[in-house]
Amino acid sequence: MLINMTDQDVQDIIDQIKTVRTVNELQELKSKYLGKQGALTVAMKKIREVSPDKRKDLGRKLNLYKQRIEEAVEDQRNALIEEERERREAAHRYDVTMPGARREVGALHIISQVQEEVQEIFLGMGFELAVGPEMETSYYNFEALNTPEWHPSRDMHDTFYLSNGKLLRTHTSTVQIRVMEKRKPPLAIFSPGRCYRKDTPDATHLPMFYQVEVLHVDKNVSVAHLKGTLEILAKRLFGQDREIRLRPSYFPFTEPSFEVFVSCGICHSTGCRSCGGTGWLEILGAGMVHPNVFRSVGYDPDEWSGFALGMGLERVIMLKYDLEDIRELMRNDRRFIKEFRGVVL
Amino acid sequence: MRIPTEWLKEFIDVSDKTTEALAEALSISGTEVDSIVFPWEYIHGALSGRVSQVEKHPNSSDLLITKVDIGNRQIQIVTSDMTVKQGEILAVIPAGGSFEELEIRERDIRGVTSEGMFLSLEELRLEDESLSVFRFDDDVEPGLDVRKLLGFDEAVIEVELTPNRGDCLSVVGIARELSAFYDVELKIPDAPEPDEGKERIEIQIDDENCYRYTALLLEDVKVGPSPLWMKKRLVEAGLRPRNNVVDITNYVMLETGHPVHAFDFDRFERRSIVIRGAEENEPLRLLDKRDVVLEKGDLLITNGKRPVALAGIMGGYDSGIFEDTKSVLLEVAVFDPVTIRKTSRRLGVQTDSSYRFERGVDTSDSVYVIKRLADLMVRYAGARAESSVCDVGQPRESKCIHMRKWFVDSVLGTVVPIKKIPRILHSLGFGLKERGDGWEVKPPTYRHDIEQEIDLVEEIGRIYGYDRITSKPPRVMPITTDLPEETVKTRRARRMMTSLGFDEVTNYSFISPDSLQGIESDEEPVQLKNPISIDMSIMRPNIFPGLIEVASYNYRRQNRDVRIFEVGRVFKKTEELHLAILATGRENPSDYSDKRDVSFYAFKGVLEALLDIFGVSATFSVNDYSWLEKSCRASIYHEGKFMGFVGIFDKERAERAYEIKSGELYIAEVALDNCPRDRRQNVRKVSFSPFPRIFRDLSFLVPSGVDYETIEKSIWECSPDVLAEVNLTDVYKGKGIPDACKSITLTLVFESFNGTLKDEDVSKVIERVVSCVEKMGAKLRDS
Repeated sequence: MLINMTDQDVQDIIDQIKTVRTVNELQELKSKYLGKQGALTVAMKKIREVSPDKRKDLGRKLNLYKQRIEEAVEDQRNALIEEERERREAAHRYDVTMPGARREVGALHIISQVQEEVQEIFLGMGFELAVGPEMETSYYNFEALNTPEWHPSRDMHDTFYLSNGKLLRTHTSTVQIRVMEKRKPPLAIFSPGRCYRKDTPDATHLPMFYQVEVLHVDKNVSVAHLKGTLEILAKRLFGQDREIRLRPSYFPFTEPSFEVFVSCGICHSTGCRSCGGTGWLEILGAGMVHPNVFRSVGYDPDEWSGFALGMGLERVIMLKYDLEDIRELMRNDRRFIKEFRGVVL
Repeated sequence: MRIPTEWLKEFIDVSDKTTEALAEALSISGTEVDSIVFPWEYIHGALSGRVSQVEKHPNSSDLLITKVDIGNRQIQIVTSDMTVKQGEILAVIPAGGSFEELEIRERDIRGVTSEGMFLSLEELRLEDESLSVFRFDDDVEPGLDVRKLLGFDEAVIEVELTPNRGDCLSVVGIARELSAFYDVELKIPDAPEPDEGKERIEIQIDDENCYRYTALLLEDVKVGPSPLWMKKRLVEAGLRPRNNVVDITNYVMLETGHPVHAFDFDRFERRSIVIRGAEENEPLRLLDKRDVVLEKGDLLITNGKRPVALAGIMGGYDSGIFEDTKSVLLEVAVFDPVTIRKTSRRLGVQTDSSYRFERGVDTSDSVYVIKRLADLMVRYAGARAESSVCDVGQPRESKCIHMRKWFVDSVLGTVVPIKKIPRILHSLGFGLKERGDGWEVKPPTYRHDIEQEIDLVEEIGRIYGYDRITSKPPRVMPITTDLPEETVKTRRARRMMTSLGFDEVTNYSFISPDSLQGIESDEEPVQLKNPISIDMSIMRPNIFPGLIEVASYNYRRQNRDVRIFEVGRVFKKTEELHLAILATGRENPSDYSDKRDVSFYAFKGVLEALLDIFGVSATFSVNDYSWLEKSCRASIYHEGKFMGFVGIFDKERAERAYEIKSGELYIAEVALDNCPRDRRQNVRKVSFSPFPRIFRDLSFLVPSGVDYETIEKSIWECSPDVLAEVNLTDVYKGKGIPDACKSITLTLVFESFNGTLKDEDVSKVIERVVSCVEKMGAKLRDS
């Protein structure tokens, strides 16, 4: 062979390549012809010895041979790889439709998820998170909040009393007093937590519930700022298309006081069955901090003003997730908890 | 409170407004409307009918067959009322109409067809028991709608009043609200002066908690039924008609908001009124025959000798109105709200009267109210005034309040047009005088809730309308403080436990004493003095009893694979933050390829992963908690501090008390307060070396009496600081291992901060380690 290699020689090599059964043999064969000491490589080196007039043609011919052999090797390699794949598939095929061996991911209770959602909303607005005791004194739960002992407004809070002389707080408004006693305005805080009222459990009442209380005290804080805050809350919690509405109400520790309504997400305040035809759903109570509350913590009501709002999380959950019986929240049926996986967090 | 709109319209002209509009007006201005009801809706299709013919029933002597003309046709009705006569106009529901749930149909009564029913006053709910059917006056045309004829077609607005608005607990009070909202006139008709009677009632107020007492004596009273229209209004307002005297007192109370009382004066042994505080243990039988024992501080109306009424709450039985009453003493009084509330609460007696007195009653309308009462008594109970109006005590003057315009605007966050303010306050009955930067405002005497400037701002705001205030974003400064530690730890625990595959549950803070039975504690748990039930009467000192309840609840519903946690407060002398974990059933319930049940070591592994994130270097030591399985119970310590426990809940108790009949209940509870706030609180530097590590495996045969901890401790104690980690990589029992032994394989990891370790250095350490471990009773296995 060597320099005088013919088309037939090349064809013989290619036929040989095609009979190879393993990648290793193929590699050996490739080295034999195309490696550093390979026949074709050696032949190409010898071109220099050929007379210059024939050199060009010879070079072109050998290059062509080299290319054909390389292609044959590559084709055979691909054929072998494909054969190997087929073999693996034949030996073992995965059923991709079969269920995975699933990892268990825990679900957060819906109350926690909504609580964290609300916390993010107020943290985002710049309100500080504050906590306080659930076993409270009557002073922080009532008297400091402008609710004297024999006032009929105490009827609004049926209270649990404890053997240690304390009571279970009926709202997280207690935390406002504790914070205001320690700090001077301006203040913007919110306080989430468990509260208790002596209600027998039914579809819309629980003796224990979660409230978030919000307080903002500064110079010239007005009903307008309360409305602005409520709008942000309603839009982030229920949807950007929601509106709010205030209706005058009464709480001893705020004046003026409001019931706050959010527009129905189904009919957009035109009235439908899910909102009882009114177009509006009651979500929380709010108001301007009563001057008597400021007096009880030593703030001058002529210098400072503020708003407060208190929202029950169960109510929010009922509205957001069409929950008809809030006792479900306390039953802890695994199916119920799993139902709310990944809703907020 | 239920406000009949037909009654309301007597005081205010709102005929151009729909009931819905009235309800909306009330709700916008601060009176919550519960619902709009039509109390007579239970009657359908009732018509007036003239009895044209009456004959005996052929098959019964207790029935009559009547032919009744109902306008466009004549129907036949069989009735059991034997008093029905030809020519009478009755209320009829012909077949096709309905009464309550009953569809009226043509039916056979003892062989005769009856095509309808007659209504009695009982069926019209206007009296308790009727002996015969209801009859219209003779001039009523047949075929007319009965509900229209009786005025039974108007709506009743049910309002929910806040405790500050005692002045709205009346028809007039609600009319006043609407008059302010619509800016239309409130018309309260004058009550005529009663005839001047000759007798004078002696009234003596011996207790300052009676502010005013006004009385009038009536004679020749004839007790009987009230007029139909009055009964109707009472029923619409939710009261049961009794007799004319009682009905009139209720009627006037509903109309004016002022509770009043009527005594049978003939039953007074002394013809005088003395208001005084009760003696300790003084007995009184109330109108509803309840016997109460009084205390100092209760307020009584007496005749100078014996109590005749519990002031402001309920009259006495002995001086009550009965069928034969002829002489009636009317009482219109005003009492201290707190006194009434205390007594009413203590005795558990709440009445329409006490409810109003607690919320404050006007002191200035007493004379008007008694005249109104007397007028109705004269007209509808045949009464005659025997005395003049006797009135002791003074109306309370309301105090003037200085209201500054800028203050109004600054609270509301808008500029209220200056002309609006006097208009609004006038319409609500306030007096107004300009003064300085605002006004001198005098609230009406019935507005006990108006005490300071802010109260006036609210009045202006609610009538002006909060919808007119443009909202502004809150002006809150950036937060400079840290999140509370409780919040940080709660969030961390939740995130950790859910990623470890546990579901979060929420239980009440109060639990049953049964769930703490036999669970040792150094503190008495906090108890509820007034629990809803015994099952909710103890403040939880631990969270895990709730988790076991949840496991039981789910177990009984075929959910046997339960992996749950709860993070929350527990209640001792103080409140602490705990995390409790429970697992039972399969380790990986959603993995069909993993059939294993939860094991103690898997559960402990979860706990360790959690504690590690919380920066706790936990040590576990066997404890003696009787409510955990003896074979598996341990306390957890961190730097000498007790952190909690882990173990298997007592199996016998799980079955007996919680109906969990199979599988182990693994439980653990950790006091998160004792964990560091931050895992890296005391660690600043990264703690691994940049040089390569050397790994060495060692297998030991360990007798079962030797704890793992002993082995690992001995390794650490005899090693120089090149030992970085000791990891358990295998535990094996079985073939090739002596019975009371197990084989454990440990991987020791060596590293140096000074340079690459040499094999020889490590081999020397290994030799030492092996001899230390063997001293503990273990034996190196040949590898």
